[in-house]
Amino acid sequence: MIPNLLMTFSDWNPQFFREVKGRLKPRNIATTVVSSLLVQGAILFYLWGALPTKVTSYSRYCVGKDEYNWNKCFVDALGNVQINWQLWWFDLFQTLSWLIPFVLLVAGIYMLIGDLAKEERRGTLNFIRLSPQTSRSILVGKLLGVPLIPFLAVVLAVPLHIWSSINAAILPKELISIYLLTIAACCFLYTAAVFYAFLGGAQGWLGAIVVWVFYSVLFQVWQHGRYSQIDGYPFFRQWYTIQVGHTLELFVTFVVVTFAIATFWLWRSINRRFRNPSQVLLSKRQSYLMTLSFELFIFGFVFHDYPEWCSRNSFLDLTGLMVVNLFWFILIIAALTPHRQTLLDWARYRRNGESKTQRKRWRRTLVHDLVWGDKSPAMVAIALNLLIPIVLFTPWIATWNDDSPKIAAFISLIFSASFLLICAAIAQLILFGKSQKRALFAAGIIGALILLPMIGMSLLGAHPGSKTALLWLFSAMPIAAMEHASFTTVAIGFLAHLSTLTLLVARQTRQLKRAGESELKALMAHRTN
Amino acid sequence: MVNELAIRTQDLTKQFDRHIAVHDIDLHIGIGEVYGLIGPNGAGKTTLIRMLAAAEEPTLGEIYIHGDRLLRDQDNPNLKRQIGYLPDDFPLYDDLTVWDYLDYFARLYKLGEPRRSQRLRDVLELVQLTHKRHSQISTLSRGMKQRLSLARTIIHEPLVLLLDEPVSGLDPIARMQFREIIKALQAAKMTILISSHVLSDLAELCTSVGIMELGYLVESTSLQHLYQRLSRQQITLSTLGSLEALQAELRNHPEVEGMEALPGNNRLKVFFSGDGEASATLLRSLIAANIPLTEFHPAQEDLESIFLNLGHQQAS
Repeated sequence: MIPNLLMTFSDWNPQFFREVKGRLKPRNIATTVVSSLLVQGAILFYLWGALPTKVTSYSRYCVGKDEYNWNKCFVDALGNVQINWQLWWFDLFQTLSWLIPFVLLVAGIYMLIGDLAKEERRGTLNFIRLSPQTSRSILVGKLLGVPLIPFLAVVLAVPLHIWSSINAAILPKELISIYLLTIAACCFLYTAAVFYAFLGGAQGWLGAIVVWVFYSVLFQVWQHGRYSQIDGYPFFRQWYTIQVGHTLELFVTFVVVTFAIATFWLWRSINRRFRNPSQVLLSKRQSYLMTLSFELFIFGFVFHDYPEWCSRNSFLDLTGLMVVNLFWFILIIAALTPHRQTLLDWARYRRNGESKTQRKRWRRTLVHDLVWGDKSPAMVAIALNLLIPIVLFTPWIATWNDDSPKIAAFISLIFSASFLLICAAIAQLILFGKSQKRALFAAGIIGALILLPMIGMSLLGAHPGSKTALLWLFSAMPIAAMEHASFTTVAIGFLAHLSTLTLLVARQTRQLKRAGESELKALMAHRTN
Repeated sequence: MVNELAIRTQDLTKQFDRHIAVHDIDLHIGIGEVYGLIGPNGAGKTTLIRMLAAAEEPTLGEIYIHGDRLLRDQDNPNLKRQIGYLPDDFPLYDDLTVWDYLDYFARLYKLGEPRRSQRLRDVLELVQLTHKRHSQISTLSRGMKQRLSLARTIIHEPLVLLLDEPVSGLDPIARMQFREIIKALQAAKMTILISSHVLSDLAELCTSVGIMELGYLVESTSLQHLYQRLSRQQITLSTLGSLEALQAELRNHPEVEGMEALPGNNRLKVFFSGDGEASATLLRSLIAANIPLTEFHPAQEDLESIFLNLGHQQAS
């Protein structure tokens, strides 16, 4: 029987209701309840077993200290061991604080990717798409409904989590922070999982592993920030010189707002793709705004104070930015590059489509279409996206007042952009091909282009230096060798980049021109592609 | 004229790679019509229907449903409520029961209570699945699944119904049941576009037909007009006497355009261009010539013969 509250909710969102019906079956509920209680029981049992007994000399939970500052066990007059219960409850709290977000993120993402891939494969998603429900309503239903089982498992663990926090004398605001951060991370990563599934990803396990790693790193950062007394490298603590790690409230607000903005952009993108799966994930306009937001976000981390023991190193900050940017632009290339059919239609019918809608003449121009058009090739748009960090970082580089080499830094930006543009051109050429697995090939080749040269050179011992600088200029991280590169090396490298790019763009243009020919012309030339 | 059309397309084209699946089609289907789409495999029927259902984006051209432009990039809630689409592979959710499945789609199409439950009962009765309403979908037979899919397609009472090969793979009884359902929907004033290879079914159901070949709509007309233009009268004759004498007598009549012997004893099929009066005259003259006739059966050529006579030879 479905409670009345759920019935009201079901009318609000039929997709959520469908997920409830399909997933919350008695057998699934029973399995989840038993599993959740068993895991909680196992944790309690383990921690219970770690408590000291009358014969224990040393234990983490003993209250005494010996001369080496180890926890020595004492027995009171009644023969009971003195136990530091607050620490015991704290360990339970910590374990659950790690486990609750872990279950929600890893299981939720695995289920979301698997569910969407299955619906797309079977063709059922198309029926939902054809219904008058808005994409927003369907996607909210999916995001809330598909991970219902992990939700249930976690909700059952919340009472023990709260109880442990009370006994460990954890401040309520800290407990609330954990829940807020978990919810924000779930919103972001669940939306990212849908984004990944719409990008063609069907491997739930891959998403789960990536999130596992992502989560482990973030959890460590959180632990470090909250419970460590060491005042380390302040890169993650300041943003535009604001001390975001200074208070818990500020830190949580910063992370939640960051997740919220990222979720907003992903949300727009998945809505667009849900409505029309033949579209690329991002419109060109969206991509510019997203890149600008992202660059402004990561740029904030370079404005920080240095501790006394560490001298200012702007070049290192820039290197950090470029590593992050490498991943960002690979994502932008994947989300912007249209597939074969879209390009064929664009090349063949661009003029027909425009003339039908009788738009103004200037809007029909090729440049306008390449910069803003949804179906045009993505090279120009990717180049404009790459221009954003160059424009943003150059004034900052010009104002460096430490020993960092400004010209080398600027040239690194150009080389990095050029490398990514070459990757974009190769990706576009592969995606324009006829192979059924072209997306997989594109991902593999771009991945190899980024990783293999760096791994190869590292294995061969060709560390960045004056002799190997030219080789490094062709890698994904040209900045690594820039300090050692001579003017001639840079000039040769630049010419090589330029010629490669010209060749690739020329080939792409030729392909597009050929695709734009009429059937008759292709037939006369005995061509089939 | 335009306002009376349920479906109108203009220069509708779909290209897959270099292959043009649907070529410049201007389709006009009036309100309340049952339009049969016929053509060999690969002629573009499924692609055309998918575009009309907004399941496929046209490369070029425009689609209007009851005068409103259908655009795939937008949510189009009002237009989507008017369309019901049954694809040829009818995917279903095996983890739901029949009732829950229909209830889910009724909610997706924003049917509120108490209308929703009533509508569910009505469609289940229409597709004769009331007794299976609590069964898991995975336990249904193919025919039942197909009827359930049809129920899903009509749950929101669409004004335009698009059915792609709805009877393929069904046994004769299931096909007959399906035909009866379509007739009931036609009586409910739905505009139905149906593609099928079973031309006898279409002849029984349709008011108009379109013939597609190589992506082109080569014929689009009312069934009555098609019969008038292309259907020849055939007369089946049997005699107790010699077949040669019968053939010799038939050659005296200019309306007899051709004849062919049928299997069995002394039977002939005659292609006759005259009207009813002329066939009566022919019968009289054969009796007067002492031909011992045991059968004289005039009939119209059926849709299947017309389609084959048109010589559409596209390979599947």
